[in-house]
Amino acid sequence: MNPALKPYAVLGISMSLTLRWLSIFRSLYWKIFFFFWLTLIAAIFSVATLSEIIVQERDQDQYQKVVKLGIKAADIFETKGSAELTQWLHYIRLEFDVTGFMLDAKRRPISLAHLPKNWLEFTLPLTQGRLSKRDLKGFQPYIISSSSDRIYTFVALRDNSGPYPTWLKHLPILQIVTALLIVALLTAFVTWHITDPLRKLKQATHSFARGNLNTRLSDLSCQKNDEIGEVGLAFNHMAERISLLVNNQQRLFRDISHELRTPLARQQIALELLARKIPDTEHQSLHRIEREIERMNALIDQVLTLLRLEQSDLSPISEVYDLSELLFKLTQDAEFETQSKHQIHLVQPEKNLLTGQQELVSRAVENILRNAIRYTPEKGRVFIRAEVTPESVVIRIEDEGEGVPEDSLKRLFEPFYRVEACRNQQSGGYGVGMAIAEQAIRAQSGTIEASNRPTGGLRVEITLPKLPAQ
Amino acid sequence: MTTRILLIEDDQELNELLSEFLSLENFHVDQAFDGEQGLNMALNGQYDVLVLDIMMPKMNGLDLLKQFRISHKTPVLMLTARSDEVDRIVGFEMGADDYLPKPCNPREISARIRAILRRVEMDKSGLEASGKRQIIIREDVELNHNTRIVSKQGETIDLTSTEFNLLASLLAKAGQVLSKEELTENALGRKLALYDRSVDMHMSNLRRKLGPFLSNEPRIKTIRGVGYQYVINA
Repeated sequence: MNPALKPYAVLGISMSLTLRWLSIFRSLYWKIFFFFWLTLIAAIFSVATLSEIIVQERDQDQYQKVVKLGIKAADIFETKGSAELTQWLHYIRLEFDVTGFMLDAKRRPISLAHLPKNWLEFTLPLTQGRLSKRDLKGFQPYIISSSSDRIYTFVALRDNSGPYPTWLKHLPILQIVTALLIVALLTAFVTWHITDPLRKLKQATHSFARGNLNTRLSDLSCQKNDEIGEVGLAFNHMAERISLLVNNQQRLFRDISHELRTPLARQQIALELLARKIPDTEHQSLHRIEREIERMNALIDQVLTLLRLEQSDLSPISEVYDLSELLFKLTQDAEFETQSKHQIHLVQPEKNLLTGQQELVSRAVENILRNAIRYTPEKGRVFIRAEVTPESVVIRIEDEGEGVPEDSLKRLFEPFYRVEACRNQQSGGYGVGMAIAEQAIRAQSGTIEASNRPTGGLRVEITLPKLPAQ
Repeated sequence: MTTRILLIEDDQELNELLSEFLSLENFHVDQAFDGEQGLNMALNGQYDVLVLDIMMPKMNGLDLLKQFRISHKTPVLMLTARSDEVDRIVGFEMGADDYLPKPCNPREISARIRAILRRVEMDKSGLEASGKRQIIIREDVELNHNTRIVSKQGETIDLTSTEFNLLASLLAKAGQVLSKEELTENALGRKLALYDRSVDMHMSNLRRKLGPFLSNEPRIKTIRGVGYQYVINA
């Protein structure tokens, strides 16, 4: 082991310990814990401060009033004597609700009015903290100087029930409102702090589920080093992994399909060359091989189309087209193909302008129409109906076949899904045609649903939203 | 005189097989195995038809076609991947005369080559035969069969030979509706096939190049389920 690495290792350990210790405070648990704690402290503190301010305000008023009356009392004593002072003290008790007595500079009582039982306490020097509030029994000494600058002590009863300033009458309501406001603000903040990343995560998950494999959470919402941030990182990791797997699988699929094409193309020509070298009587088998090659080619085409649609790397070219014209063309082609073995009924408005990708809609309808014809017995009917609603266009394609068992309806749009039990084997299930149809319609933000008609047969309903022209 | 074909296809074995097949069909075939070689041979040789693969290393078929068309009018049949509509549209715009999705039946390739040759023949003989309508003028559009030049309001419009043929057919019967079958036979020299959208694609290119009338009315109307019509501007 390289000894030079040691200090770094120690540093690493101590750092990781520090980080771990720090991360405790970053975790959601502590975040919420501290948050509620702080909220409560803030609420209590603010309410207490509020009361304090109010009481001080009131004391200030009281103080000024008492001091003023004290000075007046001292002046009366100096000019008119002790008896007048006693009169005055009685008067201010009645008139101003201030109960007090006077001491001179040496703290001897100069009036007998309102002397409390513990009046002696006030004759001792008034050093700070010597007298507890309890000893004062509600009395508060005020040092005042008279107009002739002599010092007196005016001791007055603290008046806790004194008049509040008018705006303080609603003090309890004010306290409640303040507390509520602070708690509400802080709670709103922490709730947002927790739910916002969760909301983003939900959106991302939905987007991913809809098949948008490139969905990742932005760094911003994963930067938080708490549990939610970890979930975000885990999501990104999972999304990365899944999209890699899906992409690999699709690439494999695509490569196989492409690679199969080349030998098929060669085979086709080789077969043709062979056909020229053997007598016409033997050509039956060659035709059979040719047909099989065609079938394989068609299947590869479909698989590649499906992959292209699933990866949605389609050109986003949107055009305005007439759906009625498109359906008419498709019906004509289908009629030509079926060689009048089936009747195809098209019911639609004269003109039906839509914005989107005509090619995709065409492919979807064509595939569904082909299936409908394939599963309808000879002389049977196939219906195509297009209806326009204010927000969407609905295309219904119905056949007169046997329909599909209810539990298979949903799986009909899976690639190569075969409906068990029935369906003539020759037709080989639904292949990828229905899957292509579904992807094509989904790429247009439309929906596609299969159901059984009450009178028998399958009904496929395509709903295309009417997009505003771009 | 045997027809000389240049086959430009990068898949060695496919190229060999295809040229063997075309030789059996009485064509003289020269082979090129990539775009650069193909362009050189095409520019320096005397060929009646080019069969051109689109997906190729070094120089793809579309670039080759673009460069080749600067100086040559030799008909080109392009082979595109089956599902690639875009290649097809771009190919027609670059001046391809017809396309075939790959892989396809080789008999179809020789049939298309013959169709193209027939049409070229038709263009020549038609020119000699119809001395009277060598120049068609309709409103602001002038079509000259001699020089194969189309101009609108005195300005030359660059059309591919298929687009020229389509416009000639439409103008000759202006006001009438021409079916897709008729147009395919006139312009491409072959029968209309099932799910065949070649005429529609050429037509949309032609429309774009010609533009609408001054009144903003469309020049060429699509008559649903029937075909196309060159509108007589009232």
